Amino acid sequence: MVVIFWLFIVTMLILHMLRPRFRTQRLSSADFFSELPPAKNDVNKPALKPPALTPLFVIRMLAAIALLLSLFDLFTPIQTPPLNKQDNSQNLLLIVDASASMTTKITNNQSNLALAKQQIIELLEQHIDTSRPICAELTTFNTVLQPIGQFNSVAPLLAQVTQLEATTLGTDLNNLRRHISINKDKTQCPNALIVIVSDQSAPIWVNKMKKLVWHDVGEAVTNVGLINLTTNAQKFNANKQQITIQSGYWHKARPATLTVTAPGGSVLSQQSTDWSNGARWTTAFTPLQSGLHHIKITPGGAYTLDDEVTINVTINPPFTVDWQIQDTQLKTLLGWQHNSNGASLRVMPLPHDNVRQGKATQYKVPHDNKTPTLYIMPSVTSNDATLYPISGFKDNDPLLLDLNFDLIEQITPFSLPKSSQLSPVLWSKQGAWIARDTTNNAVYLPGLPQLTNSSDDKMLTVMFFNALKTLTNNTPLQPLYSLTDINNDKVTTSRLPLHSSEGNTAQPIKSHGVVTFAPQVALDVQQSSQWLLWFTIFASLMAAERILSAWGGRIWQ
Amino acid sequence: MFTAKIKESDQLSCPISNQELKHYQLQSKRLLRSDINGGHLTRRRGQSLEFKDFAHYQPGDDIRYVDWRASARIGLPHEWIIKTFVAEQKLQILLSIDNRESMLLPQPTSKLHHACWLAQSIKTICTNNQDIVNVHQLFGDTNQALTHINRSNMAFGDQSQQLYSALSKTPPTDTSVNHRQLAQLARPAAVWVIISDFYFKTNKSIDLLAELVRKRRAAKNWIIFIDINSWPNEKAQLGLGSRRILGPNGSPDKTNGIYDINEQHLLQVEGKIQHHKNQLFNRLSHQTIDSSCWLWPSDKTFDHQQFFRERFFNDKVLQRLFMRDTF
Repeated sequence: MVVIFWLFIVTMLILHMLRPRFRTQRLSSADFFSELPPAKNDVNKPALKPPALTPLFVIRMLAAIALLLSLFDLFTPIQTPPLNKQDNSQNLLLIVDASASMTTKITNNQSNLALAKQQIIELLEQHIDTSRPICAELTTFNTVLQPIGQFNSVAPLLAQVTQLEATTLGTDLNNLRRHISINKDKTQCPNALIVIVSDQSAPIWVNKMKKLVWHDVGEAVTNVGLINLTTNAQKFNANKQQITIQSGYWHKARPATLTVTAPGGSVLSQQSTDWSNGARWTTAFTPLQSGLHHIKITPGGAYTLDDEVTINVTINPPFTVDWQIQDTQLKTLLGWQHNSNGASLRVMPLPHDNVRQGKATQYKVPHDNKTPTLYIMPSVTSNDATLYPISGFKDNDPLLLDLNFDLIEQITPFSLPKSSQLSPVLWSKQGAWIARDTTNNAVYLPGLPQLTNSSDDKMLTVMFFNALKTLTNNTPLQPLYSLTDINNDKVTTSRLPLHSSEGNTAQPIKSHGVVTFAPQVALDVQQSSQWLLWFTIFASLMAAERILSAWGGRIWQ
Repeated sequence: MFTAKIKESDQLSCPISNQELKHYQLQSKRLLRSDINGGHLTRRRGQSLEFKDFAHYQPGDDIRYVDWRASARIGLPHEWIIKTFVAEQKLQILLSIDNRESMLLPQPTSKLHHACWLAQSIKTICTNNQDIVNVHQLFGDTNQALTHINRSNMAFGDQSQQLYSALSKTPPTDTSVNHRQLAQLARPAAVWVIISDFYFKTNKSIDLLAELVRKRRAAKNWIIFIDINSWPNEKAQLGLGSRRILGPNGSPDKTNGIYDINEQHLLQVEGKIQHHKNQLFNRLSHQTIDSSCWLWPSDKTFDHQQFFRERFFNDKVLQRLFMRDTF
């Protein structure tokens, strides 16, 4: 609209600046000039001269301005302050980051939260007009939003802000976004200006939200901390357990020392960080005994909650087996130790005759109820090679996980006769191929893998480990550590970083928006009724211009 | 056709008041006419109802005018006193005003304004003398005298504006001299005052006017030419450089009236104007004609009213109109 306005004005000016190069003179003696030689041709070309401020020129310019004001009013809705007093108040929704990262120490050994408090106070004192009504809500957020209260004056709001403390939880910005989108119109202070104070960079989505200010109080500082712990501890693995530690630095590299303290206080491992491959460094240690191991990296930098962790390591006893099958190839491969008394697992064959006679369940030597037992049915001879299709199976049974039923039909295994003590899992008309004896914690399998690359053998391998996991499910390993969560938000001895960016003290500082209440007051969009007035003025001026130009006399021409 | 558009405020009133004209008339009457210039005398001795003086009887006087009572009272024996009377003959002044379109220029104060002011001033003086004044449109074939001013409508108010309006509204479409109305109006021994710029485009107009002048001169009319010459002023307004010159009838030629005016061109135009005027005056060289040229100053914005006053009061030809007659 502004461009059109200036184009119009400039065009009008140029039209009024176009003048002939000659001056017109009316003389009574004009007839006596007729014999003079005519002027040069270029005299007829117009020239640009300063516009004459004639009354008609002034009227035309005024008409142009009136027309453009009319168009401007017609196509530009105006925003007017509402008459509603509530809408005129200074409505504010203050959301303060209270996550663990706000404890990061920055300049002058001041935490992000302390700086946030200070800047919030300054912002409110600078922008809040105490003479006008105020409606403010204070909320903190980490992984969830925690409303603090609603205030109608600045003093109690500031008092509450000064009492804010950081929690040990992380930050869930998606949850924050969801909450703002859903609840921004449901707050007690309608149409409020949302001010978010955090040490996080303003996310991209704040650009799409109106009346939202993201104030980033963060500052790039150096931090060294633990990032992750992993372990290779597996129940069926007889190898020694090893714990891998990943640590890293942010902002600037700083040498640090990683110390692992064993139960009793003895130093199990102590290594200097090696940042030669970048900002991440990985090392591992092997615990020698069960108990609390303390891992600490020093100096830790600005953020302290990722500097140390205590984990409870459980050295599980070695996995032993009462292997009563002649083929020990698999046992050897798995590194299992034989233990005829008190083994973790018993593997034993079912004799041919017992199966044939339907006495498989009676074959209990040396079966006891405490030791999980895996019964391996006898191999099928060629004489018995009769193909039977699968008649049924127990849906969702873990023993059937990832099994190829087509392959099982090709094996044509021995089948167990129906018995009240057995719970069939996979069966044919002949009998059960895979069964479970829940009373005696036993599983019956049609065969044992022979460690070949055949499809049948791979299928038997899957079947074997399905049974193994099923039988040992009652004795899960203890976790190495537990995370803090919403129900347990206090730092315990086993706390680890909660989210991927925790400890990242080198995020780019990025704020969004400016705190101001004057334009943020709720405005009503109205269509201006002035355009008709301006258009009437324009029409009147043009009518006057035409009339004066035609009949107004010499001064108007 | 060019039509001058003048606001009412531009129709300036006559610059000379009646009081000034009376004073001017008295001043003029103090002057004695040195010679008898034609048969235009206004006052003659003779029989009239108006007593003038006593005189001694001379042989040849009409014995009916002897005042016997006065003769017995103051006269010597055998000396008779006779009464003398004034035989008053009214003066007729014909004012022929040129209202062609060239007279409507320049603007805003045109030559026609000056002509109307002059007519108004002469009319005022003449009505004071109880003379007859006729205003006549010089050019154009019209059947009526434009304005007849005599004792019956001798309003002493300023009629120059009405006169200007009447003349400017109907400029003549042709340049023929309005001789028929002049013949009807003019009396023997009348004074014929021609007020014009004497711009002629054709010799026909010159011939017609010269012929009419000769006829009126033969009828013993006193003829006075008042030449209102605005050229110096128009020249100053024109200046030098590229100009589009519009006249009464718009552009004078095919060049759209655009010229590069220089000094030489101005001299050329001035000579051409004078040449046309001389054509008329040369044809009347054998006639006894009084003429006065009112040459406007070469100032673009001079005071027209002040100029008119000075020019009117110092014009010797006009002064002679109102001199005291000799007997």
